[in-house]
Amino acid sequence: MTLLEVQDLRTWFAKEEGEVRAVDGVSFHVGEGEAVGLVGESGCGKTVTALSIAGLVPDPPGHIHGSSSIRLRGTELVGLPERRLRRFRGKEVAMVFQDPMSSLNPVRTVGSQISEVVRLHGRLGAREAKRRTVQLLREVEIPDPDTRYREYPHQLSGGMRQRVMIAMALSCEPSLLVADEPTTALDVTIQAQLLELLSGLRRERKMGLLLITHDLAVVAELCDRVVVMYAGKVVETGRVKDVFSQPAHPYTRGLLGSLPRIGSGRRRLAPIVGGVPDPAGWPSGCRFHPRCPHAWGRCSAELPSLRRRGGRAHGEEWTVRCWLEEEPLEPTPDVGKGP
Amino acid sequence: MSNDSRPKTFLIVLIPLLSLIGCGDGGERTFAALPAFCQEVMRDMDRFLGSFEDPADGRYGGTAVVGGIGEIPGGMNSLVSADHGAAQHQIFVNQMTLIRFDEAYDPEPYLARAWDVNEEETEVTFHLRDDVFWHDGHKTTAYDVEFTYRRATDPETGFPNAAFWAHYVPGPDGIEVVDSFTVKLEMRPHAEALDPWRALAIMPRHLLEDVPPGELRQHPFGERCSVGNGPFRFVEHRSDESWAFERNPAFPEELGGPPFLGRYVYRVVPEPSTLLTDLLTESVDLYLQPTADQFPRIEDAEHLRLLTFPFRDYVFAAWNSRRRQLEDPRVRRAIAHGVNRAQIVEAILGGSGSVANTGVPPFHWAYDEEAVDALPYDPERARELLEEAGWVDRDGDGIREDADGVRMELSVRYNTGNQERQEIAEIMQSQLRRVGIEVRPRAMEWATLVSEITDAERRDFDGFILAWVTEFKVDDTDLFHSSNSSAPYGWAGLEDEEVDRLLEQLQVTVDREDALPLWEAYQQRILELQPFTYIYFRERGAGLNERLRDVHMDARGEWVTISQWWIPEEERTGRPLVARSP
Amino acid sequence: MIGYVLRRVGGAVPLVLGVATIVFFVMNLAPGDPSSLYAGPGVSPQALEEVRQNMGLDAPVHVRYIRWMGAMAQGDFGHSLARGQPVRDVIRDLLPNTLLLSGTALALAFLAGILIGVLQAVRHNTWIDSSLSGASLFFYSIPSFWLALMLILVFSLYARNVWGWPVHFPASGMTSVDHAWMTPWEQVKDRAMHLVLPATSLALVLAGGIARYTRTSMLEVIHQDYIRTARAKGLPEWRVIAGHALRNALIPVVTVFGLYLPLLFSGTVFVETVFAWPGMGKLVVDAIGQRDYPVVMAGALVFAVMVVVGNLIADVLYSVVDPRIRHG
Repeated sequence: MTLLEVQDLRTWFAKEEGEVRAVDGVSFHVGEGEAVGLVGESGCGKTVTALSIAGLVPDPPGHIHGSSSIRLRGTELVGLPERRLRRFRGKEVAMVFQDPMSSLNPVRTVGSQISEVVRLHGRLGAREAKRRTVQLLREVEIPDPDTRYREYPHQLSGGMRQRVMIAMALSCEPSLLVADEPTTALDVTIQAQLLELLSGLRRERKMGLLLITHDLAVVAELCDRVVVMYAGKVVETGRVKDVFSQPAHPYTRGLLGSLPRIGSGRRRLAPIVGGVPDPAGWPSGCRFHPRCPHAWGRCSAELPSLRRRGGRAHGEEWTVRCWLEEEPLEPTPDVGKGP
Repeated sequence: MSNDSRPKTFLIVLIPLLSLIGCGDGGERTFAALPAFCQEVMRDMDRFLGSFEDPADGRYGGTAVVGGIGEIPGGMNSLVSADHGAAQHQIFVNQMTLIRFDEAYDPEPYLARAWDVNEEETEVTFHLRDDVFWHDGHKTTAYDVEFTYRRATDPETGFPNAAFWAHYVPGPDGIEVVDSFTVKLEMRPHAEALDPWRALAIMPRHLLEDVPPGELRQHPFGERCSVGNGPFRFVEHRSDESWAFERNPAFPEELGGPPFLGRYVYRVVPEPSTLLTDLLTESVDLYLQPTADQFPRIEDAEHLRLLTFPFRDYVFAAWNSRRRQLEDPRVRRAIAHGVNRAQIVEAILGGSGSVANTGVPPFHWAYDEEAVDALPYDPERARELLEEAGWVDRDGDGIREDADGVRMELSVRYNTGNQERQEIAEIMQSQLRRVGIEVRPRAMEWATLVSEITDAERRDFDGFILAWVTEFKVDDTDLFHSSNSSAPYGWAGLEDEEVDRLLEQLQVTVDREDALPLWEAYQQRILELQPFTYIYFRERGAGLNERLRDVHMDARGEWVTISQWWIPEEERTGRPLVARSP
Repeated sequence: MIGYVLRRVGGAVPLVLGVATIVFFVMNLAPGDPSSLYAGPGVSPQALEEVRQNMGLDAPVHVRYIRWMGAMAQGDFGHSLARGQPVRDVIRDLLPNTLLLSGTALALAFLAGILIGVLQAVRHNTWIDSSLSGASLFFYSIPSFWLALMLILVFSLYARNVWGWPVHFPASGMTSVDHAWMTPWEQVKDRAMHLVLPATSLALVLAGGIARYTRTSMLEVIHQDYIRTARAKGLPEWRVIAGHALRNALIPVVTVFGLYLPLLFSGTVFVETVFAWPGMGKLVVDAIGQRDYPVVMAGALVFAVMVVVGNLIADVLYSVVDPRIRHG
């Protein structure tokens, strides 16, 4: 059975300037023990997707459309009463957020914040919970966990804090870990350590991982599959090795092109032209068309559907939303070349 | 719960709650908080009075609560207190006077069982009862009277009613202890020679003899542990809160014996609306001096009764005759004619009072009935008088000027916050404008007002509105004798030979028959000169819960019959009073 | 921490002395002389001078100031001119009453204000929020004197005499007349019943302001990342609010504690008068009217000290709720 099945997720926000369709019909899945990367530029709806899965979209102003479906091991989470939803949060679906500086409560000790979850879902006594918490701190490789237990977040470094967040997330052995840009705010060496820790822990526990990031290198390193989002919609999904080696969507190509790669000095850094569109009014047709070097008449008029890359060896798991896939013109190997 | 903040938060909330418990009395009488002097006398009183049986009759017992808006400043120390409520507690409740007034305001025996005055009216001899005990067990004797007299006439004490001794011989020379229960005083003949002995409570010599006179004001006796000899013993005084007294079981049978009430509590409730609520909700049995606008509420309540009785305090506007506008008596008479005082009595007192024409109260034997209609409301007459005095509206603005162009403009002061006086000033303003006098009411803080009007060097006022309580012995010498014109109370600055002569003669005229024509002449003269515009004598009121029986009040005071007050057993509320072990 | 407290206390000494000096000269330069207030008519000038000497008013102002400062340094507040008693005794009688009243009112005000503020923030922009805002503003802006009288009218008079409620509150005083004959438990209840109306009327005025502070602070806090973290843990909403949001929201509210103390003490003047609560506020105001200098001076000192101590408590509370200050 699939661990997480997201079908046609629509999370809209009622704002003063009108309805903001932050996530507008997103579908993907995460298998048991599978690591999936959700990538895209900021503002594309990645984080809202993650929050929707955890049921943390503030309502109002946010609202998940009734036709959407988020199934966790077959249980429909959309429309589930808050009381029942809470049993999944923290226990089945755990989250690690982007900014460890602001994601921990500054006025409570690290220990109390972790053991709170342990006690809530694990139904442990105070002493037992403390023992478990110290053990978790040790597992995320925090030195001197007994002392750290009593300390406040401001007494820890950023990396330490993110380890605390991870320990908190792992505390109830969730089946799915949603990590939203877990390393973005940290410096590079710490990033690498944490990613290694995360991937090790995940493998040990056979835990599903939805890794939300704009850093394709991280995805390449950690993930089995990748879901590329643009302007509230999925534009390409597939196995990392397929997508990264032969990106089908011009946007994916652009993303990969903008990735600095060590040892490929031959390639210039090729950022995508233009800015991320305003969620309050997505462009008509293919939402990428204003920035797409290959856009043609149909692109601005009609929205392409997510289409399996039929006939190719990589099969069912590779899908793309692009008119070029419908009626491929001449291949354009050099998308990265800007004006 | 792993939230470590919670216990601390609770603690913060709990601190005030805990103090509720901390303050409990526990029922035991402890005097630890009292000064050493008080600890001893309180124990002595408990020991002595605890040895008497309480009367068994069903009329005895219960607690009466009296509410008033003010403290009892000076407490039970008659040598330093200047307050009327304090004086009443001393003379009717806690202590005794040599003589007291009966219902006709004639003297009758009290601590003195008899007295005689010699032929020349220069000596009075008091024969004291020999069965009166101080509440700590000492007998009250002539030496206590001597002690009280000596202290009261010693300038170091600062006795506030120094006028008492105007016709006595101050100091040790004026008094002689004949034997333990007989005391003789020297005096000059006077119509009301004995009045001080009705007003001054005798103090215990054995407790206060060693206190230097200048320190009596600061001695704990008056406020913390008074030892009296009257029908009620002192139990407790909580500052700004309450005074508690209990029955003196040793009070002499011949004077009516111990009072019926087991306990009498005076409570200080400064806000009249709150005090009215306390009366209506039966938290107090007696509300002293409710405001006139509260009278109907008291009358309408089923279980309450409104007592009203004439009293000795009058409200007046004093005029500074040193001022150009006010130097002519005709102007001052014109003011009296121009103000509708009967209407003021209606408007402000709701009719509970009477127009005053002089400082002699209507119930007083010297009161001149003819004075009543002497100065009626008559604006026409007021205008005539002003014209005669040379005050004419010369510039057509409605306000008169004299030949030199001085405007008839009077600033009238009253103390801030006194609604009654403010209203009087405003009524005067609107009525006197019609006869061409401009009155400007001006509120002033009390202490500032007092200093501005009593400082003889300054006398910085045209007029002011004040109330004055007169004793039974009416004597205006301080106010109107020309020799006092620059003394603190010579406000009006009156200098009139006839007034001086009458005041002097009244001092020495003993026989009421002889004094009456003098009194009449004096009142007529005051009506003519009008140093003050007398506004009214106020009736005092009291709201009474009908469960408290046999409460009678008159010009002698509110507490005059407190020994006879009683509460039927079935109407007593609260916990029964268990005798405290000594 | 202890060193910090000591430093603060030391720093407050000149402040308190300054207050005392200003009050001394303002009082002594105001017109009005106590001796003339306590002496009756017919007092001879010599007797009046005796009274002035007894009261220590014969010396020039600067000499009195030095004398007074010297006595104060030895802990001697002198005798009240109006009451004759040592000022120390009067304050010992009345200060605990004021502390009980204002302490309870403060606790009530913060409890109610924080509860209301939290409720408003949680139900942000709903009818609950706006009606509570209205109520806060109402209690904040009406005169406390009037509010006190209304409370008496409703919960004392009408509750008992008109509607016959089983529970009604005494309108005045600190205890019942038969308090001394009650069991200890009854005595506590008796005191509490007497405390309800005065403490409430004092608290309501403050609670409005505290609610507004809490609401603003809470609204800011519930949009913080760590609140989302708390929700992601699967905590029930009330635990998110009580366990995570509230304490953070309280940090700015604690500073209000120090700011509100002077407001609180000025409120006690009216409340003590209306509810016949024997306390410091009424004592000092009466003493000003009576030119009872020693009481005014001592009262001003006591209030200055209480404000200083209150601010110290606020600082300590600040570090209790915010560990970043404690360790910083």
